[in-house]
Amino acid sequence: MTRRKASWLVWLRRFTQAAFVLLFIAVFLQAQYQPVNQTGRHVKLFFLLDPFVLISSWLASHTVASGLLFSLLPLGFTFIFGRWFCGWVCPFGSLHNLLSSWSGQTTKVKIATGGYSRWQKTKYYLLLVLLVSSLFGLNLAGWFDPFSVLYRSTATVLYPAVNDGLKSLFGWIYQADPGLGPLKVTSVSEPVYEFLRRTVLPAAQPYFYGTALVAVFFFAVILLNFYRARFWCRYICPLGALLGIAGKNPLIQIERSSELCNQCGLCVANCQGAADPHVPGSWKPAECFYCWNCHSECPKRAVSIGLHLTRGAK
Amino acid sequence: MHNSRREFLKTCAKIGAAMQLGELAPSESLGAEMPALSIAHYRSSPLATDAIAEEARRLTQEAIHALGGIGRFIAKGDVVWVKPNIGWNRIPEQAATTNPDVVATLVSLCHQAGARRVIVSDNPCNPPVACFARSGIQLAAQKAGADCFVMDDRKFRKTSLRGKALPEWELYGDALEINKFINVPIVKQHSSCKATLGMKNLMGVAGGQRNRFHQDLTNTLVDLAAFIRPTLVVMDAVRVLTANGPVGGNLADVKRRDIVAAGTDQVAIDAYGATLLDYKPQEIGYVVEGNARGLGTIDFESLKPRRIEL
Repeated sequence: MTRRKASWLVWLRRFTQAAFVLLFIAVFLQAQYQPVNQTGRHVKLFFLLDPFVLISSWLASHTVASGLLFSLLPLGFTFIFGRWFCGWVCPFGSLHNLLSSWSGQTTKVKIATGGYSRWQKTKYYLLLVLLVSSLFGLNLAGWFDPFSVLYRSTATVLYPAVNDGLKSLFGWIYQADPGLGPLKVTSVSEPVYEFLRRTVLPAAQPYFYGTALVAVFFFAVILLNFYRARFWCRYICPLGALLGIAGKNPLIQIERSSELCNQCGLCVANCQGAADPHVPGSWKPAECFYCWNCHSECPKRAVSIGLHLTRGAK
Repeated sequence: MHNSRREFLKTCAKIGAAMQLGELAPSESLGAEMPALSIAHYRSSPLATDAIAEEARRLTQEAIHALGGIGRFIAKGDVVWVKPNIGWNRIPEQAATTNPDVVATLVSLCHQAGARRVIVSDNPCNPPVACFARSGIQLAAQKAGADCFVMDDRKFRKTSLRGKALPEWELYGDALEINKFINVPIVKQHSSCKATLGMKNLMGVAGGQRNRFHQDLTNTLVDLAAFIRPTLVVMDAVRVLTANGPVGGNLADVKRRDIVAAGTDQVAIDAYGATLLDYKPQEIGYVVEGNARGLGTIDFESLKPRRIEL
């Protein structure tokens, strides 16, 4: 079976995701003590988009950090249009998206396992536990908030690992100084390393206690993508749960035409959120990331996505 | 990674070249009219930040001018390491780090003399990023066009020093790649060797387990001084830390001396620096040892220092 070419909408999503991942990296690099300009100004950008942090911190502290009110924008957007945030904006989601596309599962397996599972409710219970805990003054949001997890893992595991790796490699070249006569490897490697050191690598690498725990947690949720696509987003993410509740009955809905459908199952095989686009009348907007894969993959053009102004009148 | 003898000799040749222009040149080729030590003093002791900056700038310029100008030390195309004390996470007012305007003025002077590249760097004791920022040196040096960035810890190389206390040690790679070295210490009281002066400031070129230096600071510092042999020493005594050094912190320990001294004899300038802390030069171990090893003279007055009042 040849793979269908992805539609332009899927490409638009991928570009948007890439842009937000790059934005995350740029913002992340700002979030260190810089020699002259101090810490960059936009370091909390992604948290400002995070209504889960807004609600949990409000419940725990009885105050609202005014900047976080900005997160009502994505929340409101989700109420009207659905859970696009997870599919198009969230950089952690995009990472899971990328990893699950490398899972190598056959279409047959994906059709068998790609449907909705009751276990996806776990994230709603987790959200409930975290919010109740916040209500009693114990704000544990940071343990499971996707941006917190991504920032923490990047700052304490990924970034130091990359830095140490490059430092060892270029350090070895510098100390050994290999070359042929006057032609030295260092005449290339030193400017390259110096450039990296002054742009993207940390001026001084801090190390952290408890990094192993962070690493195990991070790589566990990353590897779970090989078991189920976007495992974290489907089963764990409390922000996804919150947006799922908000986007339970959005204006934009997916519909499957029973006349055109030949029950091939390609839509569910490629569904990132296990939102059951293949089951008539039971597509689950709260689980859908609006990735357009079902629409793009359908050989019969049986899946349509469009405005449904008659909300709730099914 | 031990340096081979061949590399050691190569290094000696480079350092020797620096020496020719620095220490030995005045007495041999340039004659007696070139002084080996100059002391610039600012009569008024201004309090405004801008006025102190102007003071530091003028003192530095005049001290260098009195030695015969920067052209005596820096030639076109030179790669210069200006080595201030950036050892601590302190602001300039706390006088634990070299005055940033003294550093910036030297950078500008080097550029005027045609230096190809001026590096301003140090291996601090406190976290380096904070030290570079808080001391004000990074900003001032970069504004003056220097390459000032925290050290790259890959670049410490085991280097043969053949010293009494240091047969070999990890030195920063740049120390062997530059051709001019300007040591820019600040005068401070020091809890274990009485005074932090020029030779003490050279510790910032070394890496590794530097705490071991304190077992025998006297010989260690003279070993470093004998190996590095700065082209020029410019000593900042605009503010002097008179107690609780070398870290300080308490502004009450800082006294104004309003002096910048410059010289080519690193023992003599340290001997003079000791007097600014009311020590006799003979009380400072590494000054005595430097004199004994023939690195310079402890009797700085014998050099007939040129004194400038501004």
